Amino acid sequence: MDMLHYDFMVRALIAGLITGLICPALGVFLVLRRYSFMADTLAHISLAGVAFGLLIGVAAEFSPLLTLLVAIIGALVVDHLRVRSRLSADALLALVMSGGLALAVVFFGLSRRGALDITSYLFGSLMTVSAADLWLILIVGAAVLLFLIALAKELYFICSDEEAARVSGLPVDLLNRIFIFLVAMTVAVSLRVVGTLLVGALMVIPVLTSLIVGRSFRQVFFLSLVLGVFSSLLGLTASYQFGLAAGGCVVLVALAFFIVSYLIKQFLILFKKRYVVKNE
Amino acid sequence: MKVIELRNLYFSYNDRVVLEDINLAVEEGEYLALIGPNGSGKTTLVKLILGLMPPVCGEVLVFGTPLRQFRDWHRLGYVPQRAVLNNGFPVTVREAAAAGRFSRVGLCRNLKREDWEAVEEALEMVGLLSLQHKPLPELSGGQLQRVFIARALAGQPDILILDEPQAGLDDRYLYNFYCLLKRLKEERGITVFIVSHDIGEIGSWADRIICLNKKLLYQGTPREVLNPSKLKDVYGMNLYAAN
Repeated sequence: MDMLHYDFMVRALIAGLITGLICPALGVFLVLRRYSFMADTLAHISLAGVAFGLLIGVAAEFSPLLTLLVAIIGALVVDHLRVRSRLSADALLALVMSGGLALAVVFFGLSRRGALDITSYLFGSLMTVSAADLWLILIVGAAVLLFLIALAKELYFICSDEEAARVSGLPVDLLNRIFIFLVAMTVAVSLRVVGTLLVGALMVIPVLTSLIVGRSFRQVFFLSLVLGVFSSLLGLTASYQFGLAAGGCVVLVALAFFIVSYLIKQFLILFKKRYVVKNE
Repeated sequence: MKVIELRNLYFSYNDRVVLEDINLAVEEGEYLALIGPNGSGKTTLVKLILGLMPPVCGEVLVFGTPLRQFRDWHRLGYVPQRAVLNNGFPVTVREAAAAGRFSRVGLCRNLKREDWEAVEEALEMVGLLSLQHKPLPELSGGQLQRVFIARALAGQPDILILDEPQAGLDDRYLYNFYCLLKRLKEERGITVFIVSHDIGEIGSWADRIICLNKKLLYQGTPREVLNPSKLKDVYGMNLYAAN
């Protein structure tokens, strides 16, 4: 518990708690819609925002805001292409994702920063969560939770059957846009903790684990939140104890939950089959 | 009263004209079947009625209101052509059917007890109440289709629009399904608008049949429409409806 004596660690844990909650909460709807790669795409665009900030020398307090702005612009582009272009979802996300990464690499190169800077953004770090970051995370976290409390049932309907949701008179386009905004903001603020390359994992892996275990949408949703928070807090603690990259630890913990659930499920299926055959 | 009215409706995909000068009025409490060969524009017509696509020109009125101003969406129940399930989400039968209730409940509100009662009643009607806690991926294709019918019924609509719902249903259930539609029409006065490729069976249930192949070719009672010469005009080959 001595890690709680350090301010940076307390900030990292609070940030981890919130991102662990809101990442899978939005991730459930991304997976439901088969847009699992959306988070990764927006993360790469956000990285371009970070790099751009370094390039033009934005003050440290404003850097998270700039990242957020770029992520939202990226989200707008993705949403526009989703509706207007005839690209399939995976092709569209691949296109935008590589574009974002390419921009980020070039901006980083132009800004002549050391590799260390980039690494902390790619893989997350305990040390980099500033007080300004934390405020932003709290605000975004509150916005996401409020949105979900009010409109989770509508979002579920849209993600599971967009056409039927339209026929029922829901403002589908508006809700889609708000949703994608919230995903962009969540990705942008989660970058500091889990890093660009792994924020998508925190959005998706807890959901996939819950899909193995859950027997209803409600169960999947709430289990994802629990797993997200546990993965985040355990991962950050491990990162502190062993001096490893935060994002890597968080995602490995989430993966461990997935593997254990998967193995247990497979074992149960096998056992059930044997049981059925024996009793025939 | 005319519950659906189409006036001079045209639609095209790029340069291919799909629907041409469609004029149609559906009366309240009517049981209407739309038939026509593949690619005749049946599903397109349904999508225009539901406002999922805008017509190139012409007008759609629902309950006398132009679609653009129409707000009472809960009065329409819609069963899509193919009940697709594109992810392994363990949404339960009950949860899936409850979505049909959302437009009655309104944004940002939770379902109350009477809403859940309506959902259960809808599941009862399609014979799925005993499976209500089962996850969708564990259902058969026919059962899945019935979930989507229940979803449309849960909103207690005044018009039920079904786009070839028979496709997924198993033969054993099909008869019950036609009985259910008839019962809804007779007991609750629901207007039924069904797109069908099953020209044999539908003739013994519907009040009026409409033949579509880009244009509205024929309409009238099953006896008037389902005769070999007219069907040949519509489908371009010899067909005999069995009644």
